[in-house]
Amino acid sequence: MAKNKVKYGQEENVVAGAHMVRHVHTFDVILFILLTLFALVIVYPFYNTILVSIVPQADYTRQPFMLIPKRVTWENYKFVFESPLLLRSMLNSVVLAVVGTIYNMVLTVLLAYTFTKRDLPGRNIFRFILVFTMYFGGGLVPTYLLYKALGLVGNWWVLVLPTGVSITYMLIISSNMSELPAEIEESAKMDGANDIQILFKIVLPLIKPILATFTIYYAVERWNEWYSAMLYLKDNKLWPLQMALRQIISSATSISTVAMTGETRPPIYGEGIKMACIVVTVFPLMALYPFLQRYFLTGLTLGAVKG
Amino acid sequence: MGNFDLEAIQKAQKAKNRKSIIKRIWRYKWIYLFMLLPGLAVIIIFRYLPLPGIALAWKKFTPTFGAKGLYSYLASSKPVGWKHFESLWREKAFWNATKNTFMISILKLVFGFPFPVILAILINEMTMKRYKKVMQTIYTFPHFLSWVVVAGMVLNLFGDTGVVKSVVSKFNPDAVANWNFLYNSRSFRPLLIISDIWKEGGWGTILYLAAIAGVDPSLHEAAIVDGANRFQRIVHITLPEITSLIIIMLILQIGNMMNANFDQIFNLYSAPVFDVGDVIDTYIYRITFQSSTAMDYGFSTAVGLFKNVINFVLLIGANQIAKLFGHDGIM
Amino acid sequence: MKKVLALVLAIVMVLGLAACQQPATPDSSTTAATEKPTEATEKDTEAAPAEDTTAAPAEDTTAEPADESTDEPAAESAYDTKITISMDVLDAEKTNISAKDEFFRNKFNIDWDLYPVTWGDWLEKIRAWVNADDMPDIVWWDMKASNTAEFKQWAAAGAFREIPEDLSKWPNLQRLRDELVSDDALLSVDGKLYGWPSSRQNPPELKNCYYPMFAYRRDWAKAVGMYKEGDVYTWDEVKAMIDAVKEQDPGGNGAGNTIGITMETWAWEQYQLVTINSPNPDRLGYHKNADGDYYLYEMTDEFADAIEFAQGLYQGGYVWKDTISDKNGDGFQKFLAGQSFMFLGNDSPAWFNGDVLNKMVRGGIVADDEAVAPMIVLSATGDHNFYLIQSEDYWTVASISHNVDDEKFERILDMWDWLASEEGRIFLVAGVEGKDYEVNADGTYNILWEKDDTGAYISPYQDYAFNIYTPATLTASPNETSVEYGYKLFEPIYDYMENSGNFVAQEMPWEVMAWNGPEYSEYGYFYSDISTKISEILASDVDAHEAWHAFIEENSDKLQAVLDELNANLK
Repeated sequence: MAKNKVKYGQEENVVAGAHMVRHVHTFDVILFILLTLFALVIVYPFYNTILVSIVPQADYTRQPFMLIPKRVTWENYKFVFESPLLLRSMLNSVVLAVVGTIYNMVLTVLLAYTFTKRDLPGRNIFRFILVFTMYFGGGLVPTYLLYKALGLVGNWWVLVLPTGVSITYMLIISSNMSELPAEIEESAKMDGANDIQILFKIVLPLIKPILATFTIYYAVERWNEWYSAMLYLKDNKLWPLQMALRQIISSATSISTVAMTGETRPPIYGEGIKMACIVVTVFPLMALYPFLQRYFLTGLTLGAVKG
Repeated sequence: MGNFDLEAIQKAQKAKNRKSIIKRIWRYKWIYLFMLLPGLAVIIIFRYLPLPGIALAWKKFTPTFGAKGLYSYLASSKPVGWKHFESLWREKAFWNATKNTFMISILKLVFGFPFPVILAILINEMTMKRYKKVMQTIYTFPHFLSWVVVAGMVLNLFGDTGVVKSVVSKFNPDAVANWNFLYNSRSFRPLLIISDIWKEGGWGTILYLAAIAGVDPSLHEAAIVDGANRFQRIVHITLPEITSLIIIMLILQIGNMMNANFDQIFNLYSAPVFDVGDVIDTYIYRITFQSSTAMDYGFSTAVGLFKNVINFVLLIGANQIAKLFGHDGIM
Repeated sequence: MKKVLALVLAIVMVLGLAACQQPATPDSSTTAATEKPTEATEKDTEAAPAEDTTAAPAEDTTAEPADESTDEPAAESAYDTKITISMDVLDAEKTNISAKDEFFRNKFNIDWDLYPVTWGDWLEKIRAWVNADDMPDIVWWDMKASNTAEFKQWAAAGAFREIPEDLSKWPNLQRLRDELVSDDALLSVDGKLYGWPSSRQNPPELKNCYYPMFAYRRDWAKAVGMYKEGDVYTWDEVKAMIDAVKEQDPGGNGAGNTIGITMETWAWEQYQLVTINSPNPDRLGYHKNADGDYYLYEMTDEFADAIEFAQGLYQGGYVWKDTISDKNGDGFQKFLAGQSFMFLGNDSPAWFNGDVLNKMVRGGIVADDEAVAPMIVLSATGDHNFYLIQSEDYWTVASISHNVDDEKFERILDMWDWLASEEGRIFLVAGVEGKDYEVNADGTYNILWEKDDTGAYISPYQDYAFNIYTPATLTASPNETSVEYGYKLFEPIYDYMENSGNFVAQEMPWEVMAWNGPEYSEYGYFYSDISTKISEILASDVDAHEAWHAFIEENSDKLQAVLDELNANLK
């Protein structure tokens, strides 16, 4: 009887009794309206972004807020996809997102687990060493000199290796691990599991939603990477997507497009190109998100593990 | 479900094995080797090796050419003592920027910080499963847009030829006679807070939702049996379960107060709102890239150092306060 | 986690495939779209390249008539060893890919290693590369006079190779060196030259001024009955025109949607609206007063007159209000889209032709190429002249890295010398002799490219205005193969500059620009402070004179320190 009233988020546990008529509370209605309104406020600018990328510039400038485009043009997308940089950089970014995220997650999770060991000698010192780097760095030129000495300048790995660990993420994951009941680990130890087994077989599965969160955080960071590429990669064949798109936007809006030799291409407008570039970079991520979402929203029944 | 007194466990453990430190180190040898070392090595190589560069805050930077060695610039750059800091102190614009940085960060803390927490709880309370997922997905979208784009949208909306003005003029033609929303010291900070919430509020919920997802459902079941209503369950079950995460996020944000989101402010501000909107990062940017004078790495190192020392002190302070109240903190 | 990664991969693969299906045919798009009639006839061709050099050394260029039947005119290289030269370049992905570039590479027996830069990151990259001693062989950058202190610091520390005093081996470079004023002042340290400026080769009537001036909608001016032959207006006339244009809306933008003046982002930041109206414009920056003491003109109460006038324009609604926050060139886009009447920008013929006319005519915004024109607006204060500000007589500087050995060094100078020669210049705008052009008996040129049905040449190349060949010299634009009308529109402007006597060039204080003392290096001419304050005043209704006076008071200590330094050293 009581169970039938359960209406909070953990769907897996909602036993919606077929024989019960579901009551719609005022609270639900208000909630529905509030959340929908917020969603609308967010969706419109996206719709607008797509619109700007497909309508002629003149239409957009005269009427920045429209709902249905009068004319549609694919010139902006043509310009973006015509660039010799685009496809290769897309591939680079995929590899970077995959390799970089794995590298980041592995290092982060290992460190995070280390700091759950409260009696680890030197724990506080090591943690201070890490937290210190959240704030203090050597600056541009010293960093450049180091990368040069390590042979990372002009090397694709400069996009991956220095990213290492986000101390912030590491601390949050570590705190999540610490909150797991200690008996779980104790009992595993009794069964003769070593730390690595405990981490991968017991701890990580229990904090899946958090791991999924930081996986997507890292993936987004790697996918959006451009600054290191800008500074350290001198060969544009190694560029990631964001850097290539910056170049494409720059070549669409700057005066260097003025051709020397009678080149007469159809007019290209900066704003439309920018929006087309946004669509090209952002939409793969947005399309991916719903697939990852189930990891965040699915509740884990700790009880089952404990039992 | 575990409300453990970790402190007690720790003490018990310490009491139990009063082995020599070497024995304990030996016990954790694999942890040191396979778990601590890789991350630590990366941090030491990439973050600590360039660190002597901080000395440039007390030097006049001069590059070297053809010299070998990582730190040859330290020898070629002449010491100038506290000159960079002194000229910073004298600068009215710098103090204005420092004040604004704090003000904007505090406003964001008060209004921006609770937003994702509340939104996450509301999303979690939503009963329609599909719709809930759709909503949650939509809320994360703005995070993927850069501030250049978002600022462009804001300027279009509230600008002189923007839609807000034309809508307002339909209701009250007098109100738009001297339309000035973007270049106005009174409206600029609210603009920052609201646009920040719009962009990052939804993205922030991901983490809290993940934490809420980890709440043991049996707690809710028990509460329902005890006759707790929805609001009571939020306050007494959901919130306490994510409190430690909220505290960590709070500490981190406090330890980041001197960074008031350069990208956002840089793309939205203009000279007339410098008095309320210029922050340390935009100030550094202007003196480095937009001034007519030669770039001085020493000076910008000094400004950056000042900023980060304060950040660091704030972080440690917030962490200690959290510990006073019985929370773990981050350190 | 594996599933997640697989998904990432799968989705991007799909995207990648979709992208592959897009026809990537840059060639067809560049050659097919030549519907616009151009007036580039052979007659124009003859007249085009810089005035005095047209009488080309005929024996030099006609001596080796290339065989037309060979597709790739193989330039027999005079150099035995092949070397690779690195250089930073804009639009790297579209550079060094044509047959023309191959000709050049063969001629000098080189390979390029191109470091890509964009307008946005150029300075940042150069600074990182030079300061970390990791620069390309040719360090090419958009150096302004304001970067002088930094440049000299690098040069003095040994970053670059000296460009020899004796250029007799490279006569064309010697000629450019003689023409330039700036190189000795800005690019030399202890009498040694460390940078090669790319000469603008400005027409002499421009008096080395930069072009921030107005372009306007001549068709609208005609529509409201206020057009004046010669495109010369006073501010009273301009204001009346803007009022009329807003009222009558000849562009059909809808009520309230027509804007008076829009401008480039940098034009606002550089307070161009003020300087073009300052009453004593031959004294912008640091100059000497009657007693020979230095003063900064912007920091005088007199300068407030021009600020007050600009404030009136802004507050009176003549200037687009959102100019103040425009960081993405929206003001320019508004002009292109036919929403604003006037535009203040980088009004050079090349820009006007390529960026304005091309886009507006093709985009169907204006009916023909007569509808938009550059315009002269006489100063509102002082003596009502037409003012432009002098600038560096070069655009971009190239330095040669200290890592470059003698052989490479000589090769680079050989290349630049050839590019500055008559043959090199025609190479830049047309291409290779025998393949792209031939030289007529009278020393004029004959372009061999095909023409479309309107008589316009179809270029086989997709060259960009600035590329690996730019460091030697800028080619006088426009050129014989480009659309001519952009240039023609400027003829009355040049005419006015030359003959009216009302054109005043705001002189550049070279000796101050070249100065490198500590106080001047720290404060310069207070550019960003001045810019910020002017923005603030324009956007508010404060009394401009009072506000400016207070600003001068506030900065008097710093200013005095700079003035003392200048007086002590340069007087």
